[in-house]
Amino acid sequence: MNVLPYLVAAWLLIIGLWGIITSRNLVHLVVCVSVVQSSTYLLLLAIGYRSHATAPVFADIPLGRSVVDPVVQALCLTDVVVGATVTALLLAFVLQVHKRTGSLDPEQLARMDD
Amino acid sequence: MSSLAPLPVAIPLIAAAVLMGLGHWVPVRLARLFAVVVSLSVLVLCAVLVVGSRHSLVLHWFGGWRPEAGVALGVSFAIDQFGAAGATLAALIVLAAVVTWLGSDELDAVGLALVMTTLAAAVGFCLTGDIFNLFVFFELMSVSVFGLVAIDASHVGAIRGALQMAVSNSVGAFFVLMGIALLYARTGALNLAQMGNALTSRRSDQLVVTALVLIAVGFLVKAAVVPFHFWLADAAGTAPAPVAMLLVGMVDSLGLYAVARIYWTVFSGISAPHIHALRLVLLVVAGGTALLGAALAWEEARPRRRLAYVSISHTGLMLLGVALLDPNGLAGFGVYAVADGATKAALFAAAHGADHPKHPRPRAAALVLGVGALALAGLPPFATALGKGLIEHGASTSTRPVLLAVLWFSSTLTAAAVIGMALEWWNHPMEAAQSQSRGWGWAAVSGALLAVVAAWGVVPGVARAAVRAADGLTNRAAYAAAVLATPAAGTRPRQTPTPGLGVEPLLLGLAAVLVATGLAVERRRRVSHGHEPSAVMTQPWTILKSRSIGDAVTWLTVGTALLGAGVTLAFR
Repeated sequence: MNVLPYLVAAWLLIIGLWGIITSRNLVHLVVCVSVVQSSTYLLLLAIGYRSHATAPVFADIPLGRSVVDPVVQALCLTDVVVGATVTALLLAFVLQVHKRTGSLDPEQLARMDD
Repeated sequence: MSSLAPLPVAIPLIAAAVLMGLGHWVPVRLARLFAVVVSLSVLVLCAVLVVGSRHSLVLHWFGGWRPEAGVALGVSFAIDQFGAAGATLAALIVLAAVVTWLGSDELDAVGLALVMTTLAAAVGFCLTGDIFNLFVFFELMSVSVFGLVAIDASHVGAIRGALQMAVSNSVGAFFVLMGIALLYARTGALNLAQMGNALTSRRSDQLVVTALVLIAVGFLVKAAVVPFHFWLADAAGTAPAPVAMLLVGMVDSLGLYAVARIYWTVFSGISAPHIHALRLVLLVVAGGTALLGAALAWEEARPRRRLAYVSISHTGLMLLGVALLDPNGLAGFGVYAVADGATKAALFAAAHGADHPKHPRPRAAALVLGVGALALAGLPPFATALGKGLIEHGASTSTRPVLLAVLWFSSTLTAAAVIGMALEWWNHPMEAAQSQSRGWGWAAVSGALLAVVAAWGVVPGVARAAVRAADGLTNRAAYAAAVLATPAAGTRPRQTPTPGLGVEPLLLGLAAVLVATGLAVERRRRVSHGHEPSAVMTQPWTILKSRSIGDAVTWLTVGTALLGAGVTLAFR
């Protein structure tokens, strides 16, 4: 196992944050939040990975065969569910913003009064 | 007692499902009554857990998966008095928010279901002994609160607040998850006690430091500590007032509770050689939050946002208690979190009563603000004074004067900001005929909350109980031995002496109230003479008051980098 997945996870984190910071469109911003989240998926799976190991399903593999860590996969699955919820909710907010103001520009939204 | 432990989470979760499923068919009054009864029963159950956990941990292993030879495969609730008290605070604030909200039309069955989910998640968050479980409850609480902030979809400001909060808090949550992943990689465990044991036998390295920083940042975002505070000003400034009560009364304290819990159970062993430097880093963050929040509150003109900045400042004061990394300081944090959370919730309940677009404000709301300001200033018998006294006694003799100055200055300035609002509202009251617009639930709730804060300060033995609870939380080895059922060799129970506070809190509180009243009256006089108040201060502060999501995430990134640098240096 090499260091590449960790570098990609760090890269996804950084470009995701950069995208959120510089975004000029709320839908784009929500996608950038998902990009940041993708970095957590990759980090989790990279931590549980083992070379020459198979999926942790014990039904049809010989005893003693090495498998990757199932715990991080369970964490990752939970993370995916959380991510889907958050993204759906964020997009619902964005829809409401567009319905009320006709704009998707975060800076214009920030300038509006309470 | 152990079989009782999952109930305060299960009951509101089931209630939420029932409300979602049947909410369309039953009258909304019945749904509201149901929610009040459920919150009340959770409050009682949590109070029972506080009593039940006074001698030893209450453990519940889900599915009977008990630990073997120090390895925990299952997920547990590991309830000590500190956690049970946090859950009780959450139930109290949720009950107060629901009762305050009863008089408004916007509260339907869906809103109630979200409140119940928030309650279940907050209680589970306090009771769990597993770090991933903690994360999931944390996210469940966050997502339900995002929905609650934006429950009135016709209010664009509230939707912006929800969006701002959701983006900042989600990024914070991803940081927490990354920290958990790194810790799992290092320890092979997710149980707090087992993680702590695995780390304590090692030397610290950059991976552990990075994990500590990521987890701390994630929960400090939830606590809205400067520079991660942007979302709270926007969300509490625009959400319906009862939702803001949840944000300032419960969510921020729980963020700090998580920092304390994870630090003491997981990191306290490995960071013991570096504790002085780490304390300094945390104290700087806490002090900066307290002072900047107070300045922002004093400077802000819109009432709801001003209360939000007051809350941020007081979160800084609470963090001082955690940052001392000492049982007395932690006990102070516990007392202060309950007292201050209830006070801030009372203030927002008053804002709810006054918050009607067409009607002027009832004088009773001004009265609540006035009394609340006394509690904010730390005047005995309000328990805020007791909390502050304990925090102060957690400091070493060299840091105590600085700590005392920060505590006194921030509470005086925030009290002045609130007294200013009270004077304004008192002088622009509401006619009696119109005062029914919001019902009087808010008045009953704010009165009851302030009474709780005062009573909590005069009940004898609160300080001693808090110090004992803090002793329990800070004793990592004893916690690990109890959770993992391993022999508790060499883990004597701690017995930190309870400090006697004397008349000092009374004098400090009186001075704070006098100065705060003076400041507020003087500013009012200037405004009525046409002087723009503190116009010189306005410019530099706008950067800390931004409502842009981009700015908030920029500060989140910069703050993470700075805290990371600070903690890395502390671990050298």
